[in-house]
Amino acid sequence: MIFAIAARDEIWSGGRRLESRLMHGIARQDGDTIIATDDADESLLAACEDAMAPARARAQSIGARVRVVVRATPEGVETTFTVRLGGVSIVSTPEHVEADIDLLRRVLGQRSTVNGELPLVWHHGSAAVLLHEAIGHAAEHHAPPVAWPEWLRVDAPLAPRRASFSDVPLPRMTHLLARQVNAPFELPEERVDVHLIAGGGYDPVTDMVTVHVAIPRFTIRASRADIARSLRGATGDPLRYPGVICSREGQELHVPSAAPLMVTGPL
Amino acid sequence: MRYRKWGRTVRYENGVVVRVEEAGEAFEEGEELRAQPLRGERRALPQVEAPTPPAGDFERVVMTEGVSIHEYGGIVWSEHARRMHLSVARAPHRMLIDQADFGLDAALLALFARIEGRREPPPRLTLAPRVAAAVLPSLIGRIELAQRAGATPDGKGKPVESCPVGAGEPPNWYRPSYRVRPVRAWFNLLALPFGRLDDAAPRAVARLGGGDVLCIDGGSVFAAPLNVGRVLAAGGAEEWFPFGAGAWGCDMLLESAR
Repeated sequence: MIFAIAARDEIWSGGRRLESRLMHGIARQDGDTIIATDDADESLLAACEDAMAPARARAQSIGARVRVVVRATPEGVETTFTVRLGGVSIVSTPEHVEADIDLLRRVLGQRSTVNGELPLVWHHGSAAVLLHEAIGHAAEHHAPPVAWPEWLRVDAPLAPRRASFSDVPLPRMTHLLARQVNAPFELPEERVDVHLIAGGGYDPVTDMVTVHVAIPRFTIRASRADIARSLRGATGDPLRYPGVICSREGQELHVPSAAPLMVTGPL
Repeated sequence: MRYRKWGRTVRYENGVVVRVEEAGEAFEEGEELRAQPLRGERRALPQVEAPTPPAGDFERVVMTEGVSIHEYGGIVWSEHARRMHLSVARAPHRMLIDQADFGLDAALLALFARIEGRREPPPRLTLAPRVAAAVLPSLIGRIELAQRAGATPDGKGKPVESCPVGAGEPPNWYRPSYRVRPVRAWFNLLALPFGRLDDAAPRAVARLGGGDVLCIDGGSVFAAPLNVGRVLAAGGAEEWFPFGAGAWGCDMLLESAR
């Protein structure tokens, strides 16, 4: 089995480039042994640099701290922008970056209340992050089943993925798409509105999920069973969430994620 | 100024052996860092054997042995390093072991298997070297620390010399990879011995997940949060651990913060 990659990773701030890293390599796997070298696959390298040129111009024009990463593998070329404003980040792609930065600017002005006794309303597809941890990562670790509501459908396929030629491929989510089918929905009058997530994690030893909410700022720590029980309802089609860079064993990968507007009980 | 590195590593990671050969260069021009693979020029590097994984039931085993040649400003040096990271799970606890050799402390595994639960931190606690080394960077400015001379230069080719750790910035640069911007850091941190250790105090022998430590008190083995309060005594440096740019572990007696 052969894996090849060329990737460029740049950090821009206020139109100035602070860091630029090129990485390329080829890994050949035979059973439980991987031989990895930094040899270049010239076609992937060219594809990577071709995609980076417009992405770089875009990053330079954004008046914020921006990390732009282009990864070219035989499966295709992926470009992601991580834009940080006001201490909060979104992760986007070239076709959505304008809209996602607008969203970030808009929600930075939100001053929602944090109250651990109120239900949570998960906007902008942010429930995808909760389910990414509670369903996606749990599946990666073969966690025992939990009773999720019948109206919830989650598509989070696993495939061997790796960040770099020198990494061991791990079963990782390729994407997470949550949908609702005839879910109940009632928008609570008193609620906490969740807009953007800073990060999260799933611990297979304790079966606990942690989600650090960025706007408004608070942290959820709950078992998967408690999260499943907390799901009250959802409405509409899945909303693309701007940003899941997933890190496991130090390997950072982009996981496109979407979920409908969702309501949970207090968490 | 250009930094160049040629490296060969063999890593055992959860059942897979990864042999990596790569070379790279980095430039710092003004405030910009640029890093890229070094194409064409190869250096002869010693062969490295694959590590033999320890027997046992581990959540995670990562063992790395690597050799490298570095070049910066006309200075050339080489390094040979071993690192082992073990994670041992016993729900809801997880023991974390990070060290610079492949020797497995079977007694530590046996102790962890006896863990009885989680308690409040003892008022006074002796940290074993592998725990004390991990907290040393957080003690800068609180107790007397020093940088101990190293056998190889820092990330910019400058010798790592023994000196006290003061309020100013460290004299050396830490560059864990050619892809990472070097930062000033204290190398081979150690606590200068002081005070009187107490053999009767409960002993924290390993780090656990979530900021806890594995403690022994008489015949009891339990988890407790590590809340570092006043440091009462430090013994002599015993073992080097790969935390940041390196830290020497020692026995350290402290009070738990309330």
